[in-house]
Amino acid sequence: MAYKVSAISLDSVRAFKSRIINVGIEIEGGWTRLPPGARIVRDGSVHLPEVGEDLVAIGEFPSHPMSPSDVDMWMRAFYPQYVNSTCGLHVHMSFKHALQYQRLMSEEYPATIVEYMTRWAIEEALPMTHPLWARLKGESLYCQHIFNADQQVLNQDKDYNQQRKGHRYTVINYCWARYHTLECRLLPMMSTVEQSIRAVQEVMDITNKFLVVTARREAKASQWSTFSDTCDTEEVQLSL
Amino acid sequence: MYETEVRKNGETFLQTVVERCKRGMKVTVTSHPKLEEFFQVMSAPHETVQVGQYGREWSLHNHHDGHCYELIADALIGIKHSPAGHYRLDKLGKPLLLNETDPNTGSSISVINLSFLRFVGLSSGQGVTFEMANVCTKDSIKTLARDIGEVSRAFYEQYIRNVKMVVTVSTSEVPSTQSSIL
Repeated sequence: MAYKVSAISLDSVRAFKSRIINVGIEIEGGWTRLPPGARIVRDGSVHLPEVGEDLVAIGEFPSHPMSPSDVDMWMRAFYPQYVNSTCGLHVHMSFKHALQYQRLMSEEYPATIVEYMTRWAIEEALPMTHPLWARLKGESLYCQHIFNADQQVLNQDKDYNQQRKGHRYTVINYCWARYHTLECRLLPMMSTVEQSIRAVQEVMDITNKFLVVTARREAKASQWSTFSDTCDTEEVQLSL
Repeated sequence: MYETEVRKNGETFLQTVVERCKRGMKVTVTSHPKLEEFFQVMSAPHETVQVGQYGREWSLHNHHDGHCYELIADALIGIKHSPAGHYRLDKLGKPLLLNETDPNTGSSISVINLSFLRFVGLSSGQGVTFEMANVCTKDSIKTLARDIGEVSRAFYEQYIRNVKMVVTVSTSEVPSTQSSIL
């Protein structure tokens, strides 16, 4: 699996205004104590066999939609005590206008996310055994390097089929019909909450920069169907 | 922005512009008066319907009141087939691309919803503009605009274009018969 297009360069973007209105974070792992209000959802993909019986909950904890500036505080409040390579960190983003969402419906967007998160992983000096590398290389079934936005936006239900056309297990899942968000599924849970916060912030920054670069006016393309108005003539010969 | 224009004798018969907008997708349609004349003939005299009665996915612009010609001709109801694709005119307020079951074969087919051609006022001023809360890629909006153009042309050819029939009745010379009396 590989994208058919290359990442676009975001290097020229220095400052930007956030286009992201709300963020939703899904964190996975095991909790030995639950903060008030936390409700953990079972997730069959999360396995923590190395942890003893001191866990009170295992699975996924989704946040409510929140401002991007609240992500830091929320993650510090609810981050699980145990994580491993089976745990994902999913970032949902929503935008003020559907037009911004549509500009992200381009194969260049997931390709750019993969490229710039690879640079981030190098800067963070992640060891080659870190689960993010397999996801960046397209080796994880949970974030396949496939672009199928037009089918994904129609999905109203959440299913677990990783093979069907338009399934949600891709680096970017365009879950418009269900949540009006797009979901970045690339990140695994990092071993520290600080590193996870930096990773989420990087995904949001790449997304904003991508929107800055691609916000140019959409090219006008005309298609013409022309035909003359000479009417069809049918001749019928009758002989007496 | 993607435009589809169907022309007749140098005049624009139908122009459809599909573009992405803040709400999702915007469609602007202008037509030749001949199109409105056709639907006036095919609808009950002076009868129009509100698009909102049938579906709520089209949000109208420019103070258009949403009135459309009502179809009473059975011939225009249901899926229409053409070499350019399938289309229908009886799905006001619904998505422009419909997944339907072919009543003849039972298989799933894509049908272009051309019901917006029934808007009152398509041939006056700037035509009619409506928006839908759909999102799509550039490729799919381009394909949709192209498909709308092709099936619009098919609709014109099937229902509106004049057909001239020339019927010639000729007499053939009757061979003269010799009188057998002689």
